[in-house]
Parts: sequence; structure tokens; C-alpha cells
Amino acid sequence: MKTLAAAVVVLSLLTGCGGVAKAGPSATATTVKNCGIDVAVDGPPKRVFAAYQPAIEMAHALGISDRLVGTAYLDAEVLPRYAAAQKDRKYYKNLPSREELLSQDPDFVLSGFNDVFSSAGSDSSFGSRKSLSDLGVQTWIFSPLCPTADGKGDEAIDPSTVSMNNVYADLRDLGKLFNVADRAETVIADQQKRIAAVEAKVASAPKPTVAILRPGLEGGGLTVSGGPDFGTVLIRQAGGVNAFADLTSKRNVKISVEEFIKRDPDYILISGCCDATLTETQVQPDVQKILANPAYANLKAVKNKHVVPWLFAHHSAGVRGANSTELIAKLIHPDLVR
Amino acid sequence: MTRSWGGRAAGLLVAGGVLLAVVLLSLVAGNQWFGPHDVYVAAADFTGSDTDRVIRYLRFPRTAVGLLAGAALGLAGAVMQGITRNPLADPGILGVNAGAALAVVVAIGLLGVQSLTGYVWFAMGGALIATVVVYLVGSVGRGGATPVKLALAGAALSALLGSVTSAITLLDLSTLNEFRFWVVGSLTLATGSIVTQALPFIAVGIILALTLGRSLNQLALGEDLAATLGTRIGLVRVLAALSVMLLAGTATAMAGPIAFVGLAVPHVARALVGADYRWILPWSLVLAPIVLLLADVVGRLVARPDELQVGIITALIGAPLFIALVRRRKLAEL
Amino acid sequence: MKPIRIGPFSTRVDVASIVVSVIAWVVTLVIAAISLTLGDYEIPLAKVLNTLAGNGSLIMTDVVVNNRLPRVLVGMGVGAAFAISGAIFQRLARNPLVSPDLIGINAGAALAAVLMITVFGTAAGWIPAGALIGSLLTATCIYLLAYKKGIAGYRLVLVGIGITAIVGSITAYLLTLADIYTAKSASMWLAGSLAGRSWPHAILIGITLLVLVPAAVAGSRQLRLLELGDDLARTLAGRVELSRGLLIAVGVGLAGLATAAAGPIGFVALVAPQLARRLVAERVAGLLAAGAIGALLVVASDLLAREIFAPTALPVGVVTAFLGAPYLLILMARANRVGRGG
Repeated sequence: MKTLAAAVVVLSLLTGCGGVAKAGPSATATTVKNCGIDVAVDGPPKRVFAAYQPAIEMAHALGISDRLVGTAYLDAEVLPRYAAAQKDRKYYKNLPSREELLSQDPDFVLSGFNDVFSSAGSDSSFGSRKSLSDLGVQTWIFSPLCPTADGKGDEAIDPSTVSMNNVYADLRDLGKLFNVADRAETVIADQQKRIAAVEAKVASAPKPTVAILRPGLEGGGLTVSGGPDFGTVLIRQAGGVNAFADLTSKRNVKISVEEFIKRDPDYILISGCCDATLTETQVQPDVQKILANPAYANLKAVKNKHVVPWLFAHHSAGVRGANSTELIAKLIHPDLVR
Repeated sequence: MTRSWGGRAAGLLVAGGVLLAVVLLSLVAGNQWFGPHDVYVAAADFTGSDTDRVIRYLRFPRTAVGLLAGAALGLAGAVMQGITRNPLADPGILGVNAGAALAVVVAIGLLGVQSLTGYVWFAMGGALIATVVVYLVGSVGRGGATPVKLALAGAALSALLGSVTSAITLLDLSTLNEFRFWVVGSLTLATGSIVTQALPFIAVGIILALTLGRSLNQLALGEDLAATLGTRIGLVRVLAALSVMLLAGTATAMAGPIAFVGLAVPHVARALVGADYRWILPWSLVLAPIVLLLADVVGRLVARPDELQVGIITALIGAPLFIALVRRRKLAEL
Repeated sequence: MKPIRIGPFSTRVDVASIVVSVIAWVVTLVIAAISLTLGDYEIPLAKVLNTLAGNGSLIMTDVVVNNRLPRVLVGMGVGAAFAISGAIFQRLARNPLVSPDLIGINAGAALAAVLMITVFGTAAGWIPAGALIGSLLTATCIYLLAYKKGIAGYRLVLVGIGITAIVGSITAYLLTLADIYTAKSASMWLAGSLAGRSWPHAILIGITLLVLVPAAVAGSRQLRLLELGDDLARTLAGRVELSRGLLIAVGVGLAGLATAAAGPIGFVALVAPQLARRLVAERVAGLLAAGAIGALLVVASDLLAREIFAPTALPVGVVTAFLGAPYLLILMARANRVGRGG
């Protein structure tokens, strides 16, 4: 009970400090629009909570690792170059509740997906962005996943926003907000250079079709990445075509097994998900299931052993863009990209 | 339709012919339409083409599951209606499917059981326990197991089992993920090996059920009269429960909880051949797979590139029939 | 509660039910107060009271006043609403097993809510409205389909079971279409949950109770009359069907709005009136006593739901189901034995 009381005192002190830091206009006051909402800070946010892989990795990429007061819900291992920075950060396996979030006294919440702010009555929702900004907590959703209205989720994504350019725009805006503009430009330049290099190599090559498949209950239908998924962008940059790009109702679309066979994609990426220690190796059993299923034996991807373990983290919008583009290109154009 | 022996037998033959046609339809219809020749090639002259594989590895199993699960559910419904003398009896209504479903969730989610032969025992155990509980609770007191009491007990038990199921699935995302596809009831969950695993259970259940026709006829006259006619009521009940457990339990393990087939089909059979269970049972056996397979074909065609699971279609067809039944009869007749 | 004066026992009934109600509300308030102090953001009682008095920090005010307080108020409100609705239905059908859970009204609300969450991705604020429309539509359907020269209790129940099956299977289908995370939040909603409930929900259920409870209490006179049996009631007045319809409407309204606010929290409507009946030692439960017990059940269950697997919070409906289920089984067997089951 004593430690509890002590914790409360500390927390309330922290709360007080947060209040002081925000008091009075500052020379570095900045306002940027994100998904139609004004994000205004009086100075670079100091206590950042990053939810989901893309947000966590972007925070590390921007060099603001030491400002992270909490990180939550990794889909896979973080990229090797961020592993050291992530190791010391407070980490939640599941998304914390709004109360838990607030108890970390964040002044900024960075989210890689939109559902944490869609407050459809669950214990893992942070509440709408407005309700957080009312408490002095600014929020950010990755632009390629902007819902059409605050509080909405995946089904309300405008497909035209799903692009690497929007990732760059996010980097620039966040760079401004966090006063790390130079670092942001470096990251953007690196991404652009690497993606351009791949695009140049595969420009004139034929474009194979690639399907991104979520493993799950066999026979219960299949879930594939549709048009609005960021995978579509990555596959295009790598010189391929998302085999299900024409299904645009949602990011993840359910289809029948027969439809999948009819489309007969050249490559099948099995997109494993959702554990902080997940690597491609752990997805291998799901690959074997596809390879062993006699119904699939005639598929081009199966015959050519082009069914490969993949990570959900790879095809989320964010600073993995260049990395994932290279990975896909090496896979589908092994002769052109090494 | 004629109610003479010859007429009923001839009718049954015709129904068998219709079933064959529906089986063929189930093999050729779907996301892509094939010809009868493709089916022949896939079965006898396998070339390994996509068409052959889709027919052999997807449509054969799902059609076989439709046949087996349909026959099992129809027969289980007929036996239940006979033994409870209750026209509203159905494995779905009386909570038997919910019992099997919970047991399967426990097996998959908590105990890590993977194969059908592993969890079919759970499904049958769950089905049996639910059957007994509903019957016990529904038959205590005045008037014995009246239709309303049984239906209420079934609904209540289903609600109860459903809550436990949802608690288990909510604590573990991957169990929820598997469960939500299973619980709608679908013929696509099965593979060829599941069909062969389930076949013996269903076969025994069918044989058991078909031997009950005479006894069910005598029970229909009332328990006292049946006893004086020489029916061993206790034994008949045990055999009936056993066959329902085998049939409904295995069907649920194969295809998930599919409602209303067991309810609707015996009524259609009764309308066609009269109240004689020696005919109702075999007719249900033939009619139920026709209904289930047709529902599945419809489900394949209406929601492309996805499919509508067969359990949705049967509920959409069967529940209105249930309501019509409830409206048509007076309480005394139920 | 308005005393029902039938014979010399009326005063005793009244006192007993008032005593039970008062005790239940006191216990409810104590649990509610405890709930206000518990949560991921730890705040001691003194600070909670300070915050409630309007002197807390911005974030504490948000946690206590904008999240915990409405949550616990919604819990009390929906508990009372479900219980009173259940009491009405059990009386009407003269069957202790009849509750909005079992006869399809909640299923309609659930379908509408899941449709909004999974297909339209509707913002949380609109879900109650949709759920309400869903439950009203289903209730109307059930009533019309069960109507045949009057409403027989058994037909209402059986039609409800049929409708539940259709609606439930569509709900299950929608869950297969959604993303697993969306499916999870929809499943949470389906189980009945107070998570994330805020002032609009509390106000909704508050107004519901203010409007419908007096109507229910006023109607309970006629209810008593109906319980004497249709034959007798028919000779007394030709308005039996009308008052039955009105009472059903009140019951549906209570259950529908409670479901709109918190999802279909199971077994409260079924169990609370029975508990109240036993505590009051009367043949029928007073509506207000049932309501008090319902509020207590939900608030206590929510506390358990948050603490058992902390920090993972279960939806409250799972706990009410665990508590209510065994009771229901006993009840079924018992009710049938004494001949009230059919």
C-alpha cells in the first residue's frame, strides 16, 4: 500500500510537471495537420507513447527513443538497427487501457494503426483523439491509414492516401513537431534512394503477381491483403502486382479457397503476426501447410516453391518501406536485385 | 403422394435420384462452374490440373461432408422428434449443438486438440451431456417433456453454454479467430481425411437410428400403450440418445453447429409419407443432405469472391419454417 | 413501490421489498465507491473524493469523472433496467425462464450493433441508437409473428427462439467478415461490456429509467390482474391485450435501451427478479426490488470482471453468465417440478 501511495505521489508530481512544461507559449510552438486534425504542440513532445510496430520503429528512426515513455503491441521483432534502442523501453504486450496510458503521463501518442482511437467500447481503446487532446495529449495516426472521421477505423481508409509519399509527409511533419527535421530528412532520403534503386532495376521486368495471405483456420476461407493494404504499394515498388489489388472494400479481405486457386498468384507471402519475438522462421509451419495441401499443388507459387514466410510487420506503412521493397524485389526478381 | 408401401418406396427412390442430382450439382457449381465430364476426370482420370484439384480436394470433401452431416442431422432430428414426441425437437433448438460446440472450443482452445478424431469425442460428449441435461430439466414436473419446456430448456442451456464459450474465446485471440469461422457452420472446414474419420461414427449412428422406427411408432401412441405393446421404453431411450449423440456430435465436429436441418426435414418427410417413423427415418436420411447441399450451393454463389457459410443459409430457411410451425399449431398439439 | 393491496398481506410485502431494495442499493453504492478507486491509474479514495468535488487535476478528472463514474452509473442503470424488464416478462409469460435474453430482443440489438461495428465502422457514439432500433425491430417482428388472436406466452417464447436463431446466425456471419481485432471488440460488445462507457451512455440509461420505471410500476397493477389468469381478466376488462402490449413495450424498451448502452449483459434479467422474489418471500417480485438486485449484480460483477484477470479485463457479461448459469439450471429444474415451466 505504501508503494502504491508513493507511486501515486510520483505520478501526481509528474502530472504537475507536465502542466508546467505546457504552460505559456513557447518559441517552438508548432501546429501540423494529421488526418484532418490539428496537432499543436508548444514545444517538442517529451513523453511519447508509441502504439504498434510502425509507430515504435518510426520513433526510433527519428531518434526520439529516449522520449518514449511506453511502447505497445509489436507484430514481430523490431528491425535489428532499432533492437538496442527498443530493449530498454517500457513495453506492453497488449494495448494498455486508457487509464494505463494516462498513468504514463504521455504528452504525445503515436499510433501505427487507426483502431486505438476508434472507441468502439473496448478496454484497449485509448478513446478518440479529441478526448485525448482535451487532456493535453496530442495524437498521430500514420497518414496512409487515415480514417475519414475521428473515431473510425480501417474500413474508412481513402485508398489514394496509401502511398510512400504519405509516409514521407508523416516523417517531415513529425520531424517538425519533435524538432528533429534534419533526422527526418535523412531517413526520407535513405528510403527514397533505396526504393528508387530497386525501382530502376525492375523497371522493365515483367511484373509477377504476389498475394499476401494471413494464415488461419484451414478451409474457413482465406484472408488476403486487398487494394488499400500497404502491401499493394510495396509490391508495386518491387516490380510486382498485388494479386488481389482489385478487392478494395477493406485492407484485409476474405475470399474463398476456390477464388484463391483461380487467381493462381506467382508468389505467396504468408504473413505471420503479432508477437514481439516473431521472426520468419516461426511462420514456416504455415508455409508447409500450404505446400502440403493437395488442392494447392498445381498453383504456380507452390510448384515453384514460391510460398515464403513473411511478416505482417513488413507490409505495414512506415519506415520499413525501403527494407520490405528490397525484400520483395529480391524474392520476385532474384536475377535483377541482389 | 400415395401412402401405399409401393408408393412410399418408389417416392424414396425418386428422392434418392434427386439426391444424386444434387450431389452432382454440388460438384460442378461454385466459384467456377465445371461440367460432369470434369467430375469424371477428377475422380477417375486425375491429371493434376487446377480443375481436377478443385473438384477432388475441395468439392469432393465438402460434398461428402454435406452428405454425411446432412444425413446425420436429418436423422438425429427425426429421432429426437420421435423420442420426445415433440415436433419442435432439433439438435440446434435443444442445445445439443451448443454442447458439442462448447466441448470443441474447450478441446481446441484449452487442451490444444487439433485433429477431428481428437475432438470428435469431445463433441459427442458435449452433445450427450447437453441432450441429457435438456431432457432432464425439460421433463421434470407436470406433463413431462412438453415441447415448450424442452425448447425453453434448450434455449436456456444454449445461452448458458454460449456464455462460457465466449469467455474462453475472448481470453485468447487465436481461439476466437478459429472459433468464429467454425461456429457459423460450414462445409469447407473438412478435408478428405476428416470425412474418412467421421464416416464410422455416422454409419453406426445411422444404423442405430434406422432400427428405431417401430419403437418410435409405438411411443407415438403414448408411453403406457407402447409399454403394453412390448416396447422397452428405457432401452429405446438409451439407443435414441446414443444415435443422436453419434449423429449430431459428429456432424457438429465436422461442420460446426448447423441449425434447423434436423428440425425442418422430418416435417417435410412427415408431410410426404405420413406419421410412420419407419418411413420418416429413411426419408429424413435422404432429404436432409439434399437440403444441406442445396443450401451450400446457394451460399457459394451469392457472395463471390467469398462464400456464405451453409449454416447461415439453413438458419435463414429453417427458422421461418420453425416459426410457421409454432403459429400453425395449438399448444395442445405441440 | 406502489403497494398492491390484495388481502391483508399487502403491507408486509411492501415493507419487505422496500427493506430489500434499500439494502441492495446501499451495498451497490459501497461497491460503486470501491470501483471508483480501482483501475490501472491508481488513485486513493481521498483523491477520488477530492476529484469528485471538482478539485482534481485534468487527467484525474478525466479518469474518475469522465470514465469510472459513468461506467459505474451505466452498470447500475442497465442492471436495474434489465432486471425490471425481466420481472415484467416473467410475469407476463408466467414463466420464470422467460427473459429478454432468451426471447430474441437482445439478439436483435446485438445484430444491429455488430453490423455497425464491423460493416459500417460506426463511431461508438452511434452504436446505442442502432442497437435500440435493432431491438425494437426484432421485438416488433416477434410480437407480430406471435400474434394470433391474442398473444400466448408460449408462442411469444418459441417465436423468440426462432428469431434469435436467424439473427444470431447473421451476427456470427458478420463476425467472420471482420478483422480479428474488430471481431474481438464486437465479441466484447456481444458478451455485454461496460468498458469505455461514458456520460452519453449514463444519461441514456438514466432517462430510460426515469421514463419507463414509473410506467412499469403503474402497469404492475394490471400485471397483477393479468396474473389472475386470462379467463378472469377477460371478464374484468377487454383491455387485457392492450395492457399486455403496453407492458411488453415497456419491457422491450428497458431491455433494448439497456442493451444499447452496455450490450446484452446476460442472465441479469433472468436471475435478478428471481433473487428478489426469494428475498422478499413473495410469489412475484416487486419491480423495484428486482431493479435494486439487478444493479447490485451488474456493479459487483463488473468489479470482479476487472479484477479477476487484471490487467486483462473480462467483459462484465461473462461474469454475470458464470454467476447466473448454475442458478438458471437449478431454477429450470425447480420451476418445472412445481409446474411453472410450461
